[in-house]
Parts: sequence; structure tokens; C-alpha cells
Amino acid sequence: MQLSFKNLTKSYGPRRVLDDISIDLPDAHAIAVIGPSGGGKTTLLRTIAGLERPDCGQLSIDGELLRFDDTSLLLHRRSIGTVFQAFNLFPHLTALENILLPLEQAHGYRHPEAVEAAESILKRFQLEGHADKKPAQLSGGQQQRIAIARAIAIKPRFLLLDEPTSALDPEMTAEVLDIIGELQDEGRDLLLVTHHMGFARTAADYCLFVADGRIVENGPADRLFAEPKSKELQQFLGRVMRY
Amino acid sequence: MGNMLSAIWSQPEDGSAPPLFSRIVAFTTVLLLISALFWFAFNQLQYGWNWGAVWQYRQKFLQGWLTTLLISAAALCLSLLISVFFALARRSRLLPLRYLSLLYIEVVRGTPLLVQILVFFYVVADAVGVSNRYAVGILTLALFAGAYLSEIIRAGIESVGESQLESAAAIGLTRLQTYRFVIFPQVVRRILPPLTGQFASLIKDSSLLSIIAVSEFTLNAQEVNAFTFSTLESYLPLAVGYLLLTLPISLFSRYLEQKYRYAT
Repeated sequence: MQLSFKNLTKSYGPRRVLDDISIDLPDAHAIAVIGPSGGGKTTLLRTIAGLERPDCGQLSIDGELLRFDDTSLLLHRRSIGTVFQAFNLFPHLTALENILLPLEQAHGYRHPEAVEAAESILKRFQLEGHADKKPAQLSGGQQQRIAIARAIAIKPRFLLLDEPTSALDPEMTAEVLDIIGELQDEGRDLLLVTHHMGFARTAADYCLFVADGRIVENGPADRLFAEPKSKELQQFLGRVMRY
Repeated sequence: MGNMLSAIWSQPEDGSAPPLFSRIVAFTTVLLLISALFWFAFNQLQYGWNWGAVWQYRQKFLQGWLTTLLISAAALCLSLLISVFFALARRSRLLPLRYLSLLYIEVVRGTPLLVQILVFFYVVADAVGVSNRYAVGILTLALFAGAYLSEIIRAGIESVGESQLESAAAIGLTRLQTYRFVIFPQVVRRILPPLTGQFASLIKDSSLLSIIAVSEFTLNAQEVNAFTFSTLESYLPLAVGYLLLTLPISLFSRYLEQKYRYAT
């Protein structure tokens, strides 16, 4: 996935969350976005996900300019898979129905095909025993794995993950990170906002450090963690790596 | 004595329903106590009961009860349509629609149904040349209930969290699909109890249509009272008749509530 931003700006009221971002990133398979809370990581991901319209500026993905009218955004959102922090699943639908909904309603699968696709993915994630459970009957880790299953069932161009483990305890975090690592290993493009520096470093091949609404530093993940250049990143890593 | 107490004492913290026997004992006790209270009150009354006179008009009661049933059913269906429309209009991106909805809800909820019926029948319906009092009655009742229902529906829609709307957008549902597959199924389950409460009110409110001479249950009871001068004998069956309509509704709502129960 190759991302380019040009003068990308977004404000909420007086607060600038994306501050005139202009950069052409190299092609990368797995991009990790790190940075302090409130620095604009999530807004950046949401803009790429087509869930947020920038106030001005442009965004291209794989050389294709993203247009921000309703129809284009809808088609864009259908072509990618997005997973949020928590509460991704619809509580009135079972795990299986949650996966079927986008397949049948947004991607034109017929019911038998959709069931087949959904069941094979649940099986792959070893969740087949939970297909008929409602989200409330599942653990946080299971819910998040089903949300990931729902996101990849539609065969997305790439996967966007917004702090997918921040609402989970360490054990569940591990089970979710395992799956993400697995997806990354099989060459699926993904962009991940995360607080797990270790995971960002090992799983991602490219890394963005976002703070104060700007991409302060970017580069191959190994380089970024081994020799941070900017003072902000040095301070940030110093703070988060302390414990 | 300890046994008696434990039979009617329910421990809510374990969440399970109390045993059937305890429930029957408790319910019967309450029923007996209340019956005894009313029995005592009516006995004090020194009232010359004359059920015979009223019994002669049983057909009239039945006919009025059926009219109330039909009017309520019609108004109920119509009010659902009206309320869904105004609940959505309230959230519309079109500002005039939003204000229309706001104005409708505030005016209807803020004024007495009695006045609304009179104005609608003698002014509005007259002006547009509609003279069928049943049609006007049903429409007024539906508009009245619709204002309350639409607020219930709006609150239900708003109770579906922002994160779910976000998820719906992220998986590529259109606005319409989001309403159909994500919002409405959850709204229906959440608003069932207040909705049925409102339906029961609607049935009772239909009694006010008697002032424009719609021949429904209450008007017929009033007429029987006028013919026989047996006030209590005319109005007690009225209460029972309304209970026969409202009780099944609330039992049905309990049943649905159980059926659709899930944690959020």
C-alpha cells in the first residue's frame, strides 16, 4: 500500500488534529502508526478509512486520488476493512450474522455463498464454535477476532486497525496480535495504530510517528526504533519504553 | 411463620425467578388484600345496586367496546406510521423537516387532547369538508399518540451508540441499510415497553372521542347511565372493558421483552 498526503488538514472546532500533512510514503506492506494520545493518529486512520472528510487537502492510495463525495466514500469504505478499538460488533446479531451482514448487503453475496465464506474464516480463526453466539456472550478477545474476521471476509484491498487491542487484557491482546501477525505474514497490506511498541517494531515494515497533527518522523520500523532522529520521537520512545 | 416468610421472600441477587409456589402465594395475597379493601369500601356505600337495568343494554356495551377496539386499532397503526415519519424527520438533514417535526411534537404534547379533538373536528375537518367523525377521530387520536411515540422512537434511535453507526459506515452500509439492519432491529427491542404503555394510553384516550359523538365504549356507557340512572353499574363494566384491551397488550409486551432479551 502506498500513501500520499497533500496539505491534509482537519480541525475539530479550534483544535487542529491534522495539520497540513504533505508527504509521499514509500510502498509498504505493514505500516504501524505510533505517537502520543491526541496526536492525530486515529484521525489520520479514519481519513484513510473514508470515515472522516478533511477540511482541505488530498489523499492518494496506491496512486489513486480519494474523492470525498458520499458515493465515492461509500465505495471506498466497501473496498477496505476497518477494525476499531472496541465495540465493533452489532450486539443484536450473532457472530456469524455480523460477518454475513457486509457480505450480503454491501458486497452482493448470495446467502449460501456468504455463509460459506464466513464459516471458512471463522474456522480459520478457530471461532467456529462461537458462530451462533451474541457478542455479549464472547470475551473481548473473541469479539475483536470476529471483528477482524468480518473485516477480511470481504477480501479488502487492505486492513486498517485502530488500536485493536487497547480495550483488552494482556492475554486477549496476545491472541489478537497473533492474528494480525499472521495476516501480515501472508502478505496482506495493513495499517495499524498501536501502543504496542514491540509489536509495531516486529510486525510492521514501515512506521509513522504522528504527534501534534503532523507526521513528525517516518521510516522503516527497525530504523525508527533503533535510531530515532527527531527530538519528539526520542522523548516519546524514552517515555513509553521506560516500563 | 419462618416458612411463610421464606415462601414469599425473593432473593433478587441470584437473578433467577422465584419458585412458582411463592409467586402464586404472593400474588393471591396481594389480590385478596386489594379485593378486601374495595369490598369494604363498596359495603360502606349503602348503594342500591340495579344490575338488571344495565343488563338490558348489554348489546350497547358490546357494540361500543367493539367500536373502541376498531378505532384504537386503526389509530394505533396510523400513529406508528406517523411517529416513524416524524422521528426520522426530526433527524433529517433537511432543516424545515426537522422544525416541522419539532413543532408538531411540542404543540401536540403540550395541549389537551380534548381541545385537539374539538379543533380538528369543528374547525379543520369542517374547513376541508370532511364530516365523517370516525375518520376525524381516528386521525386526531393517531396524531396525538404519534407525537409521544415519535419521541420514544427518537430516543430509541439515539440510544444506538455512535460506535455502531461508525461500524456500519465502515463495513460499507448505506444510510438506509444502517437504519434497516442496525438501528431499527435494536430500537424495536428497546422501545417495546414504553411503546406498549403508550398503546394502552391510546386505547384509554379514545374515550375522549365521546365528545364529538363517536359512538365508542365510553359514550355508550354514558348513555346507559342516562337511561338507567345506574352510574356505577354503567361505569364499572367500562373499566373492565378497557382492562380487557390493555392487559393483553402489556402481557404481550412482557413476552416480547423476554424473547428479545440480550445484554448490550
